[in-house]
Amino acid sequence: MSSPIEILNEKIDTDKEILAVLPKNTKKNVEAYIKKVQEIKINYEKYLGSILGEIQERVNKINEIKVNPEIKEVEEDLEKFNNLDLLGIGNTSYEKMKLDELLFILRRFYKNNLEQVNNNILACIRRFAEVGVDLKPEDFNYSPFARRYMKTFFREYKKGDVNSQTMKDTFEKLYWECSDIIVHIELNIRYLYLKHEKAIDKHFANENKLILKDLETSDREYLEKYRTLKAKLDDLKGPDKKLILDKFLNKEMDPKDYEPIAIDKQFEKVLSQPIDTYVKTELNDIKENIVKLSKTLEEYQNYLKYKFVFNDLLKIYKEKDKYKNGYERQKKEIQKLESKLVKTNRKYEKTDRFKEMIFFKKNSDEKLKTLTIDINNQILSIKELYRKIDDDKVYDKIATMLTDNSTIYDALFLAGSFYTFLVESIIKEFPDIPEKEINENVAKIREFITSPYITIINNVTIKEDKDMALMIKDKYNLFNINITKADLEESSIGALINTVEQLVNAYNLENSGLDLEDVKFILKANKILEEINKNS
Amino acid sequence: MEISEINLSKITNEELLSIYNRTKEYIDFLENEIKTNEVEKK
Repeated sequence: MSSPIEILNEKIDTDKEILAVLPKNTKKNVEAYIKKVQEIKINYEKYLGSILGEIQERVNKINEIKVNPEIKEVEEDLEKFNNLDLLGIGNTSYEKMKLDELLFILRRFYKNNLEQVNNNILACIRRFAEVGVDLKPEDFNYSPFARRYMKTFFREYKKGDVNSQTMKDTFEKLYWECSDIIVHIELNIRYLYLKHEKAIDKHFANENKLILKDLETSDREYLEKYRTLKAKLDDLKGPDKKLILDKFLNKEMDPKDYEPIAIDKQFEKVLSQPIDTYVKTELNDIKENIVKLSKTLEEYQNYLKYKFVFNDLLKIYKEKDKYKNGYERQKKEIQKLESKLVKTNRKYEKTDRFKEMIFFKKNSDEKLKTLTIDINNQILSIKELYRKIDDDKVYDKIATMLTDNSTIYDALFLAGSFYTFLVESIIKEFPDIPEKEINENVAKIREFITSPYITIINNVTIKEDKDMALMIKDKYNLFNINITKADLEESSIGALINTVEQLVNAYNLENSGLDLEDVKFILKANKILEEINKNS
Repeated sequence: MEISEINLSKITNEELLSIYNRTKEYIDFLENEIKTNEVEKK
């Protein structure tokens, strides 16, 4: 029996023969010839319409595939964790409020623009309100400059634009009078945090209790629950038919990489023997171990990438006795200097009130100048202590929370709780890193330490000098997966990850029930349909 | 056998795409044939 294409070719040949015998020697004959060609063309166009109808129908059927509804359910469960501080074990309410991140922008104001600075001040005010502390203009009394700036700031905030022209003009004027104005505001916010610290701590303790109750978990279990859900989501998403189809449609995956011959080629890169020497059950075991290997490689690559954070922390740990209780000591010292600053500011205000009276004018001007210098100097000394307290807080935690039996994971988890520590470590490692990439790295480190796939670094203590690459190599060699220590070096691990990723995708594709032929069809059919829509 | 006898819903994806391409190609040929002869007619 002839194939459809043979039948079609036969029909075309017959029509060609019909046309070939028609005379074209006169104008009339040419007209008759054209008429016949048009007649044949109409028939083929009708036929093309039927073919397109069938193509569209098959495309529609493939597009009917839906994402597994369980995925949405798990995603919704995970969303509940958004309000929970996953790294909360080690940090304080200062980090929970994200003041460390928000104030870091102010600290590095010279790397940012005024709008960013104002937006962050506003974000701080809102964070305070969220924890039950409503800040008012009079709370900003760290210096006369901070007071003047924030008075305008609150006024403009009420009007709805903290980046208004008035705000810009106010900054311009105050900056030339006091170029440390942003430092004053930053420290003022830090002062307000310390002033309300107890109430804020209480707020978070209550909030955490409510969230944990809602999540039906406890503060010991919530991270595990989060990780279990994350792993469940990955297990559901990996072999999901619709999500895999979308990857092909979005060109994240290419069908030619998943043809049996291409996959066998990738297998041969990681198998100790030719693929045809394994029986089906052995190959199934290997495939499952390749999925595990992909998680191990992800963990190890992240460890290599962020080892510098661990090394920075280890240095502090080795000198831990120096840092115990440093945070509390430093806090007391700051508060002592701040009470002195409050008194100086009061003197300034009092003098300023009398300034307008002619009798006091000359005297007041001189006194105000002296007081301004005094305030600025006091703030500069406090600033140094605040810079130190950020370090002391982390060092103190490192000294009290880590022991020789703590694992690399424990150490990285603790470091991950402290934004400023992470940022300083990142900047030290990559001095020219753009601002945007700093936060991207912080997010990646935090994602790494809350990942459900940590199996190596939580089994190596901070004092041990274990060869992790060797551990990985030996473990997977036992399961017929042939990787070498050289494959695991920082410069080559990416290539191994690509191979393994392709094999994991192939395994997921196999388990999804999605037919590669359907994928190839829909990709070609979509091109045809797009072309037709473009021309119609 | 006539092309109308091909059951489009029964053929494979690959066959469907190849008869689409061949039909399209022949229509293009016929269109070109009409254009060329229109010119010759003048």
